[in-house]
Amino acid sequence: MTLSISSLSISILSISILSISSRAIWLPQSVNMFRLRLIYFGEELRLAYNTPIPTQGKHTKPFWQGTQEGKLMLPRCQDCNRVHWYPRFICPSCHSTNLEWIQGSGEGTIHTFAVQHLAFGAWAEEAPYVTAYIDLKEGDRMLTVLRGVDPNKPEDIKVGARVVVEFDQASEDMHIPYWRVVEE
Amino acid sequence: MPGQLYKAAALVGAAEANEIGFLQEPATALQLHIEAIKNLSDQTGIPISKIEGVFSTGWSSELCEHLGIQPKYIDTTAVGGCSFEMHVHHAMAAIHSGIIDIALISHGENGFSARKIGGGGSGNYGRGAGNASPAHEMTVAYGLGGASSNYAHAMVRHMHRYGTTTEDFAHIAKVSRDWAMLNPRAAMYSKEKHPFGGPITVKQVEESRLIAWPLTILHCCMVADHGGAVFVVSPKIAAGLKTKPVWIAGAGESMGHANMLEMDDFTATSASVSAQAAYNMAGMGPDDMEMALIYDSFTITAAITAEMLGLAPLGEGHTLWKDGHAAPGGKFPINTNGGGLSFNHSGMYGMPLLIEGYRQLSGTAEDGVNGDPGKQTSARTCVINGTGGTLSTTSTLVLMADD
Repeated sequence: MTLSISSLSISILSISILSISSRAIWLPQSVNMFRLRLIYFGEELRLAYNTPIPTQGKHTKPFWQGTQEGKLMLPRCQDCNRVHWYPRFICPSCHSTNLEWIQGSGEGTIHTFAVQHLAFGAWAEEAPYVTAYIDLKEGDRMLTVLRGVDPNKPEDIKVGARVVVEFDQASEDMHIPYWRVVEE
Repeated sequence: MPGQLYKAAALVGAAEANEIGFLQEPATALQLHIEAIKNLSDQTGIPISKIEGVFSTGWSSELCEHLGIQPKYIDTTAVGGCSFEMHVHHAMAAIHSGIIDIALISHGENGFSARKIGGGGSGNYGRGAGNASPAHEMTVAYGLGGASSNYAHAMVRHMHRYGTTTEDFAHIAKVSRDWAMLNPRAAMYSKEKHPFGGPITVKQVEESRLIAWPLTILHCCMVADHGGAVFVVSPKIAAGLKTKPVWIAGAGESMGHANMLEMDDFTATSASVSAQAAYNMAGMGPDDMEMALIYDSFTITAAITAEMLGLAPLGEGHTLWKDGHAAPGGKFPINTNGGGLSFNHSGMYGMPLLIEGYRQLSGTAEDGVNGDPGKQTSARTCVINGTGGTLSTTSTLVLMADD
């Protein structure tokens, strides 16, 4: 991670220290990849997140707990052994409800991708960025914002390229998985 | 005397979710659906995989996706509490007509739990329902916005699989504009009508503003205003009208998924299934079609759909446009109104497809109100295909001119 704070953001930081409010003050300086911003909570500097954070579903807790520990947990049917994604109440292959969670390898390949130039909300300021569907080693597919690629050189991004998962802390109790292209 | 649907169908089972009432542990609407369906399947011995028609309020396609089924009859009639009785009626009609034998009517509504966990209190469990939709939960973080942000992934996969290029698809946009310039009702008829209207070149399509690489803005449909309506009547009524009938020879529907995350093959849609059903009903095939009206939300949508309809070999849908066959004066006209790319697209383009199908096959494409010469084709048969969602749901019609 590279961390550089411009004089502009330092001046904003100074203002925020003077502020009575303990609410987060957003600094315009990007840290690391996307969406991570330095924010100032009271007297503590933190990395924070301004793009959408999912609401945890009631049957997906094991997945989100896994991401906290750096594990990619995947739902698998105990009757037909197939892994499916997104997490279901019922196996979409054999309609069994005997489902379990297994730890995935965190490895996959690019199935297809696109470069988002027109984006909305907090993503608008990150454009262009690359979105991709990832074929999981265990089967089925996951959506991601792809890392380790240049959005201005889409012709260099290869369908089938190997990727590995990594996790970003988005809030107190949420880590979000992202996939990064492996340097071959 | 009994009506036509007399004993046309029967209820053969009824089940509920595992827990109903004021649930201690909140449930989502989707969960309530799935539990009831699982219990119904166990009760009747009818496997979920054998369900042919799904009737439910709200986003039925996401319910089907969650179950991993692709029914050939999908109904989302949602007009309040009586919707489910209507579903029975619609299912009877579908069964009586021979389209399906097994219909699922399903309900899930977390009126009480919604106070704690939100989502689906109205009986919907689809998009925007927060944690009610696990597909939404697992995709919301990743910066996809409008349809273009999704469809671009299909174009990249098509290019990877078949070696097609952005230039190949650009011809589709160019030809749509050629048609629109013959149609004064088209939004892009001329520069006078719209600053971006009038003629365009393939090069201009290629070099226009990037929306979601590889889609430039001229690969994308517009978002305008449109209103339209059609009548469908019995032959008896049709015989007494002053307008010409256009016969619905075939109809079919299908779905692949609700969310693009679940799209198995990014270069194929369920139009192959809905088209086969429509062709079978019509007793005709793609070779019998003399024109086509294809939902062209994006150039890639039109190209893939042409392949699914059997109008071109896999990977070669774009050649219909590139080789000039689909263009004005070509041997196989496509999107004679100018399509969603150049005529009009308000968000759901299904109605303009029907209107242009009627106008072409009734010989009223140049109705003398606004018509320029050149738009009316000589086609007597037409295949129409609508696509919904993110290449998710499809419906195909085969239309025939009178006599």
